[in-house]
Amino acid sequence: MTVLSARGVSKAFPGVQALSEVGLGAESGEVVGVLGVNGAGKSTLMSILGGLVHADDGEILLDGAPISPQDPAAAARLGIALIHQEPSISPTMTVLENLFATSFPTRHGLLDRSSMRERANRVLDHMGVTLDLDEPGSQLSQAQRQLVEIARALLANPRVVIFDEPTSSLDDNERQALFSLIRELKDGGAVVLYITHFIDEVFTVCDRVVVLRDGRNAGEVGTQEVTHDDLIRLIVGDEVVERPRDSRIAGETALRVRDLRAADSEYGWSFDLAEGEIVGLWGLLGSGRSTLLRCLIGLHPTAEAELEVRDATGAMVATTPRALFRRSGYVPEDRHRQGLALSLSVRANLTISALGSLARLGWVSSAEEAAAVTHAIQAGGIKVASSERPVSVLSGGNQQKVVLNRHIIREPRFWMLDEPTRGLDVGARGEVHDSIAAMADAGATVLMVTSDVDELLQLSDRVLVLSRHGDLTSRSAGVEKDELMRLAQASRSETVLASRSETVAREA
Amino acid sequence: MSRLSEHLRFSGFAITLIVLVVGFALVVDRFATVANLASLAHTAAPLMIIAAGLTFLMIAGRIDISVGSTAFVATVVGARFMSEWNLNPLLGVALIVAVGALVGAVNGTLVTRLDLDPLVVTLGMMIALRGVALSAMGGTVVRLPEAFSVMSRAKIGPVFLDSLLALLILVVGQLILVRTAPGRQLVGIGDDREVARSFGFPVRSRTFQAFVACSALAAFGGVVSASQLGAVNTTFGAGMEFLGIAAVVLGGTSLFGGRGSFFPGAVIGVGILVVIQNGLTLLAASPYAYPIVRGLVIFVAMYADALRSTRQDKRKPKAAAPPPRELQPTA
Amino acid sequence: MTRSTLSHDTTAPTPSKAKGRLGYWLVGGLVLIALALLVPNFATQQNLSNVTVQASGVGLMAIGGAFVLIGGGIDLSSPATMALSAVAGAMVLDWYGPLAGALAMLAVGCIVGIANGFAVARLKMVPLIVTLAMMVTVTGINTSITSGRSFIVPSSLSDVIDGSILGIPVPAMIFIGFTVIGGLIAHRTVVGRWLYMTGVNPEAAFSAGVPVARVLAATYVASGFLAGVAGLVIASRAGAAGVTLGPDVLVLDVVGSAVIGGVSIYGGRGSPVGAALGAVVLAVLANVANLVGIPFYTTLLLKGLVIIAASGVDRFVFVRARDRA
Repeated sequence: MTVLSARGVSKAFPGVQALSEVGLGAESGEVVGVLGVNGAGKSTLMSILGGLVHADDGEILLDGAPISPQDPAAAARLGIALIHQEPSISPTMTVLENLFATSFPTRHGLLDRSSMRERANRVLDHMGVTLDLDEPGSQLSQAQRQLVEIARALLANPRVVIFDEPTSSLDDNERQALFSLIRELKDGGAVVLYITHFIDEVFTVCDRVVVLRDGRNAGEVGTQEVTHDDLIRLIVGDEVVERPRDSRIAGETALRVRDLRAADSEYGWSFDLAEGEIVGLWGLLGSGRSTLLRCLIGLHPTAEAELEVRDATGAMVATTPRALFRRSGYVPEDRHRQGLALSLSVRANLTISALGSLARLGWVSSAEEAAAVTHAIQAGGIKVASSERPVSVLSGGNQQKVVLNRHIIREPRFWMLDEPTRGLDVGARGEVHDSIAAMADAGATVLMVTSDVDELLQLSDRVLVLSRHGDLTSRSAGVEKDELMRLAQASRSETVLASRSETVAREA
Repeated sequence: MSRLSEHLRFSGFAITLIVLVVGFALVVDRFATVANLASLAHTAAPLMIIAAGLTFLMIAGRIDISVGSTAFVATVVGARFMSEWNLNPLLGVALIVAVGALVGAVNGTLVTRLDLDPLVVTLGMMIALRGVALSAMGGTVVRLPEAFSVMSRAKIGPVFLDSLLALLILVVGQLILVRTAPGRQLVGIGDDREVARSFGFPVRSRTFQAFVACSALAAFGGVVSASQLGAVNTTFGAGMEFLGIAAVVLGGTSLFGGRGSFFPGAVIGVGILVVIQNGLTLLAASPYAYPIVRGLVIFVAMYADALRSTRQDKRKPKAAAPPPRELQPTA
Repeated sequence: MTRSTLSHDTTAPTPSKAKGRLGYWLVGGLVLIALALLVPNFATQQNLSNVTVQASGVGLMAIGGAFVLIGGGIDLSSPATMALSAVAGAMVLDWYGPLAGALAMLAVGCIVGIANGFAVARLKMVPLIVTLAMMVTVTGINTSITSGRSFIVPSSLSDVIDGSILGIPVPAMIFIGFTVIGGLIAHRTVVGRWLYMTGVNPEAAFSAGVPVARVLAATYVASGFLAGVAGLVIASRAGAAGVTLGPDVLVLDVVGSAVIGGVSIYGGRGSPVGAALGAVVLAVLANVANLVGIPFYTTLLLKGLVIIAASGVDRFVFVRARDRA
């Protein structure tokens, strides 16, 4: 009996068609995996089911009756629980309070802690998890936060449970516990939708898989009928990625990194970057892509870092992350939080990193600044009526171009790009890609973190794949998507530990 | 065991208080006498009540620097009604608290409805209400009915009644905070307003209520203070806001909200300030030493606290990648 | 208070805000002209110079306070610092003469500012508490130095500072001078540009290579320094220096001036020039109230309402206008 079904669901965000006529169905006691690369539309579809986002078109049926939950609370009343990737945990409330925060049970006006405790213990036992109910939320590990979020959802006895990437922060035991929990939910007749990047998990827990690609249904198969590789092909598609840019012969080594180790990590990363080369750094969610980049330029505490850069005479000299930061054009992952002062003008945001060269004795020269701004706006193709407009009025694409082009004025030797096209529409992406190619053509070294496989393969001269256990592997530009997927999925035991730092050395 | 880490938060401040008390007890003969400690608690009562109000608000992540002026204006209005129209003292106290609540309602409306900054709003109110109070005084001193002085001298055993009352308010505040849903919601709101909204907490109305509670308790603290003095003069309540905030912060309540307690927190915070003053007075130290010592103690205690919170932050899990809210770009 | 607690997406105009604020100040100017015509004795040279002199003490501190607020902090300690530097200067002056005395005032201001800056930028303490504790400590030190007495500021210094050149009062010249310098630093220099970026989004500023901690520390030093300058002006005017020069409530005038002048408490918005003009508004308000015989307490009420109204205007006129943009 079909409990939940979605038909012809479409959703557009400004500049992006996130979903086009997507369908999905699930029966009682069925676990359906929802797969797709980043941006395929999985999260949007689940947000619509969970009441966070409203569909433009299409219908959702629960037990055959159309529903349209207006908010998460309404979805919860319908028995739909969405378990987020990023859990809502109040840091000073205890685990117990966090579990019941959405509806505190009271007796005579006071919190009924004994019944809270009893119900919480029942659910946690059911989940096979031990948590200290009196521990404040701030003390929980990422995995424990995730477990609290799951337990909170289960307290409401939902009929439909949606897990959004639940295992990215769980260790093996916790993962196994989660899987057996999902099996119990299944036995109890609930519908489970399971979003993941990890294909092996699909075979462990899912009965059936729905694959999304570019916001459309790309296929639907039973897990008994396919192999691991079939699924990968279904996810990434079989169209060949066009490379707009010829692979160039990379220049001499510009940066040598040995044993770069984050303060909170056990093992180090080693790799080389060459002049005029675009190196894509890729890995699944939670693999630490951004952390690696931020360690390299001193924005994340490092335990160790042996760095050498080529100086003007051509010799390799030792350097530090902070010094490398000063030579780099850094584009942070979240442009609103880390990149821009939204209320300030386009001009102020564009010249902030280059003021030293536009000023004499600390005084900013208006003429030189104006010239630099004009240059950057033209070079970056930034569309803005006046450079005095606040940067907040620009579209996402133009905002990103501001963050990129603020460094153009300085002509840095290194570019450190963290998700440079995140959230941009197709047109803006293309323009940002052109800018990145131009940087490398001008002889700079580009290290680009991206979660988008197409972008990775379009732009990169070389790819560094970070597996989910932190192993780094280098591949040349022509690498196949499914090989990337396999490398990224690889667990620690599957890789040859000894070759870890060596495999990374640049391939000829 | 599990609550240990939470209690540890107070420990720095609690140890400060204990060191001060033990130190003064060793050095000054008259310090550790029942009479002195009772009078110390008596002096502390108004500040404890005001600190209780501020604790509500600061736990919700907001601030009120108009509490001194609120106490002033409410007490003056009540005192005038009692002296001119012979209003019953009990009704007089009710009137005073009601005037305070009204001020809180204005503050709360300006902050939660018009979205103005609490620091600026209550700064304006602090100045404006002092003007209102001065004009309502109709002279330089307003006396309270004799009943108030009698009340303020009332004791149960060696302990003054108003100390017990202040303690009761703090205990009830703590009960509300820890044992009721609105109390927990207040903590959640102060912690992280976004998370609070995602839980479905009534963020606006709880914040509004915290403003009302803060001002009402400030007014009540005002009348307790006035009953000890017997009258209200033109500088009544001045500096009370800074002292109150310092006391709350010294009790381990975070200025950023979401963390803190009435009991033992506010008791410790007020205790530190009052013990320093009392001890130095008994030591016959220069009366000018008190402000310096007070400033330095606030500074050192806060530094210790800043150190600890940085360490706690490091233990916090890193937030994973934020959700793709940029799916909806501006403009 | 930081932006994280008072999160509020008031994002703000750009340095082109001067244009946006023109109407605001135009109304202010018209009110001033109306006052001159309507209020007897307002437009006399004597009275106007009085107003400017009255405004200059608070105004100098408001300029410093504006730098701190733009950077996202707050400085409650400036009036206390002002009084301490006046006292220290008066003592040094007794022994070493007027120049040393004046320099001592500036030095004391800077030292307090450095202490505040170190605590906030380096020790990462909360600005409100740091400067509150500093206010209490500095006043305490001052009280114990003076034992409640006042020091005479001899005419060798006060005649110069409280005099006038070409009919323009020297305090007014100092005030206007620092207003101009403050405006230039904020809008024309690298440090000023770093400051706004830091105030709006410290994380983005850091990512863009701005030395955030040094910029923040510098704002407190500027505030302390200007408190020293204010001490020089106010003590010369009063002819004496004591603790009572800088009562706690004066800080409200300082912060109030900045708010009236359009400086946002959330950081990153406003100008030291606005804060200076805000101080003039408060001084004119007090002066006119006095001239037309409004009682002191009504003036306080008006002051408070003006501060709240200014923040309301800011929120609903300027921020709305920007949101529509």
